[in-house]
Amino acid sequence: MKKFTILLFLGAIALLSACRKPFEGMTAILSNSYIDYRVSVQIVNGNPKASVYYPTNSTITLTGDAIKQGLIYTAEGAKATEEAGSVPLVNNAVILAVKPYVKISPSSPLKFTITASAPNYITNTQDVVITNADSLQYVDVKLLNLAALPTGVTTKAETVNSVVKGEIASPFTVTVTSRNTVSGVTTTQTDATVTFPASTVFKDVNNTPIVSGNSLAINVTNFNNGTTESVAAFPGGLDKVETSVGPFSFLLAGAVNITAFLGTVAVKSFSNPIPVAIYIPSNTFNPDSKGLIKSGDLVPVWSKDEGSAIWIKEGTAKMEVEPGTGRLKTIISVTHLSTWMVAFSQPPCSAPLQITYTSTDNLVTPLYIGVYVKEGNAQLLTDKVVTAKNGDIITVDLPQGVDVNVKLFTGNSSSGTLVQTVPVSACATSATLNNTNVNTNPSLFFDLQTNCQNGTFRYSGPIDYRVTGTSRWETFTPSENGRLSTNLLIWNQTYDFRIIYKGTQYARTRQVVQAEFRANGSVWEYFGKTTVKQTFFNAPTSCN
Amino acid sequence: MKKHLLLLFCLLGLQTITLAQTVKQPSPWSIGVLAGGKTIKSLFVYDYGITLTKSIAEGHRLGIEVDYRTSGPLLEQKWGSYLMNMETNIGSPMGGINYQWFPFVSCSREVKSNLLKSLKLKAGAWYIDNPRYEFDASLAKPVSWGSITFTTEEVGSVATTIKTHQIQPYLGLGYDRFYVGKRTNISLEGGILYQGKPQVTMTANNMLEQSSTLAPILQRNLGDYQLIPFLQLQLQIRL
Repeated sequence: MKKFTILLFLGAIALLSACRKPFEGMTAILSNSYIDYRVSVQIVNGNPKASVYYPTNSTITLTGDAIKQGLIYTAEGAKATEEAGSVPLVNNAVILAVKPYVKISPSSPLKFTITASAPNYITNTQDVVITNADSLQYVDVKLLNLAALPTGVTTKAETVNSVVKGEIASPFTVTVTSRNTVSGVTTTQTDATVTFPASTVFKDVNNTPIVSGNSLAINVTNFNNGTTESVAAFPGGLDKVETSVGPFSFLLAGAVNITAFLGTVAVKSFSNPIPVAIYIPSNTFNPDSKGLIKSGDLVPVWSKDEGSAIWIKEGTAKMEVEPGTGRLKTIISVTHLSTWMVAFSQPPCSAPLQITYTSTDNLVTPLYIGVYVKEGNAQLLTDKVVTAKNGDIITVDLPQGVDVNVKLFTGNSSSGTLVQTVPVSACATSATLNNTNVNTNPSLFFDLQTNCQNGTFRYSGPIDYRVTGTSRWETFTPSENGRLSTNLLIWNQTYDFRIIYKGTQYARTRQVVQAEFRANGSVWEYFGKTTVKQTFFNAPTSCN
Repeated sequence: MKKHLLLLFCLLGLQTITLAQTVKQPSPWSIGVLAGGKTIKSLFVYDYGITLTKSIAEGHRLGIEVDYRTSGPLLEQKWGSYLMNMETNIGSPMGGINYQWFPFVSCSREVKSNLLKSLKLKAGAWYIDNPRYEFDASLAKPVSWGSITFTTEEVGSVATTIKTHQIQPYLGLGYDRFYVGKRTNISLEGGILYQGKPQVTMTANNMLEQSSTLAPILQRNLGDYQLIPFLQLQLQIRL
């Protein structure tokens, strides 16, 4: 009996010691889902056709209320400040995040301004508004390189070597021209002229005459409102921007950016205002008259210093017809060197336009939404890159008094496929965009769980991709807790993928090989080459 | 050799012999308090309650018990490299019925040892009103995200429920001096209970939200714990 007893107890002990530990193989999975609002920022060339799309050595500075309040962080958790360099870029990109657990009130969106600069590019600013609906938005800050400008942006550089003690003895004019082809006939036309009268004294930023140097280098850049590239690259943007008289959206008539150096000193102002003539396309829409712009129309004049996010109202300009050519132009008096524009200012609608996006599938896909003036030369008013799926609501702020066409493109720019154009009345609050395109690409599912030495991580946030061998990163379907379904990829194509995380770019190159996927209904689930399910790409590789 | 054979015959013939005989006892009833516990590795679950037992024949007793099951308030576990604090919520009324057999009591002629006479086999079943082990697991340490430190509350938690069978049979051995003649005695019992294959559910929130996908791993691991050992100590008084 004693032996039996001992055996029974030994059996119990053996039974227990043979067991796996209850929590064996369990690793707490942390995700960065605590970030409710993200902004994926890229600094790109304002010329979409430029050979160098990512300006080298780009830097950004963030300013504005949300920065002052300490509500904006980098994705790695560093608080953004208004100090230059507080937000470093990684390959021209950075993911910004609203401080975790901060709830954005529907009536009080967060606002800040990105000022981007790069050597040999015109510094630009971009206002960012984060509403409670903007869980993930994509912002491209476009920089213009004077050596390779987009269509509709023209520039002229002049040098005057007869400056004595900061003053020119005789007048001179800088004329910006462009070549215009109509019916196969190409002509040169004037876009803007800047005239410096005799005896003009050039002053520095402290309003002090610049007495050193006798060589004046002037650069005048003109922005034509007739091309989408020109309007989209316009410094500071035109949609819902801050001005000295409140927030407005602008309908651009025309604009110039003027810079000058006397010797090595930047010129900021003059002894007397200088006249600048800006030529305006005749098919520009005037929202005040609800017709095309014409001689005698009054248009507000605005200026904005480089790096500033606020447009200053500088009076009004009157349209006139140029004798001889019959072209419309206006002459404004420029008191200092900066960006000057002639633009109709429309206050924002009291409520945003809520666009319901529908599609034939339920996959999250990148979309470009462009809002264009319905009349005139169909000027681009605002645009937005989003990732959305069937049933999602996309909000867009509209200006008052302007009927618009809302266009839906696949991808993250207007170079994608135009899916639908929907006319929307001024200040309408709802619209529907139907994506009825049938995507023949396979529906692929990826599990991007990353197993690290110290745990398991599931990434939430944006992903970029590109066909291997191409240079531009495109918006890919974002990962939600380490999972995503997409139809952006095609079989056998090789792609680069990247995630910007913790100040590092994690890039992987993978070919989409059908044999590595297993069909699960209509969805192909990535499995890998082995019998054990693999991760398509694991990044980042540290879970700290 | 002869002694062993007699003992064997005694044990084999015990039922008929004992049922045929009527042994007068001062009282067949006893009442007692009990405290016990069971373990799944480092998780200890405690029971305490009262028991009422009646001797139905020499060496045979039937018992019932009413208990309450609980556990320590906190359990620390490592989930990978993360140390987790697991707040436990284990509490349930229990009821039990058991049969106890003292194989050497009826062989008094062959067995003189009180030690042997005090050995018993016990079989029974417990009814667990709420057969769930519930845990709320959270990181033991806060998580830093750049200049921000998330408290463990902000990181979130994983609520884990392990459901077992409501009726749990068991088999055990014990040392009990009831038939030795003591009016008051302390008995010690141990054995193995069958709690069935545990069913695991997990819900998680905040940063730990995805940890709920670990439920199948825990359930697979707990598949090894359908049989678990228990130990019980009783103080009983013959009425």
